Amino acid sequence: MSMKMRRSPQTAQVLAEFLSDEQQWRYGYDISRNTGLKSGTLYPILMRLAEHRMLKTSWETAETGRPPRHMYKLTKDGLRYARELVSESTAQPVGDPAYEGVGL
Amino acid sequence: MTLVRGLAVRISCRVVRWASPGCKEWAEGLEREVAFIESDWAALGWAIGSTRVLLDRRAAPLRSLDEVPAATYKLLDGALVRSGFFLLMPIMDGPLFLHWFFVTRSTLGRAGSAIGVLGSVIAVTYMLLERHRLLLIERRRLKETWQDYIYNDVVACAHFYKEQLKRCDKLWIYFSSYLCWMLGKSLYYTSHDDKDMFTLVLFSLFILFILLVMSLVKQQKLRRIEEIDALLAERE
Repeated sequence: MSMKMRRSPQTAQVLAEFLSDEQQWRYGYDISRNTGLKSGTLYPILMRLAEHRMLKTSWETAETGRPPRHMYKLTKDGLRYARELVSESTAQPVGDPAYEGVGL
Repeated sequence: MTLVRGLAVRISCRVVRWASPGCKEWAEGLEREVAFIESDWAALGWAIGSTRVLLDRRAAPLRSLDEVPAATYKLLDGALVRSGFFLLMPIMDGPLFLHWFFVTRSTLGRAGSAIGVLGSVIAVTYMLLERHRLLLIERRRLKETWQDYIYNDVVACAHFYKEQLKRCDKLWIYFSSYLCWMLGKSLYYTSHDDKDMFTLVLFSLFILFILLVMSLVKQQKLRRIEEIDALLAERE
């Protein structure tokens, strides 16, 4: 009955971004800028991670005149999963060159 | 504020307003980011992308096991109302199919009507049994001992809630009868000389809609079961 986490290249990208500074709380827009993912792609991934208890969320303490921002950080389980997925995705080539095996 | 940024802000606010309870916090998170995006066009792109959250319809997450009794009550109440509503269509259409079965002369029309009758019988039987089960629970609910059990032993209540959620797997019986109903109607209409293609297309779309709803409901229930499992694991 359990729902599995989808292992997409975009998820690996987001997790790699979190791994670049494991202890830091991250903002959505910063992750989007660094990974090149649009908000419509990024947030479903973050929501899925949070749903699987791999991501914790928090609201920034408000500074005067600025709205508090939503922040994200990987949990211990999230970090373990991220390391596993990122090492897998770096070990496997994304795709073979189109001309491979073709006698040129 | 420029026109483009104003539009971005308005879109984000609408997304927050229309987001489902389970996605509200995420929608707010997306909305807050708009103020920190330097470029107006990038802010607009961000806001447009945030509308994706609207497609995700989920109930507010369970924060603790103490919220489980209320959720259980809500689930049971909803199921009881739905069971009555879902009985209406097969009860109305069963006799109609039976009438068509005796009136129509073509074999295809008869086959369609027979399938329709079968679908209606399955649906009525299943929904009556389901309603009976829910009414028994309802009767137990009125007793004080059950209320004590539900509110004092939240772990037991969580297991009961999970059991009820898992029953959604059995809804395929009811939905397969819906498919019989659709197939029956389609065959019946096809058997006529003046084939009504519009009705057939409409029926096919309805089948797709039912399947989509089924998968969404199942997904939501699985999500809820996972939440309960996580809360139970935390408690242990």
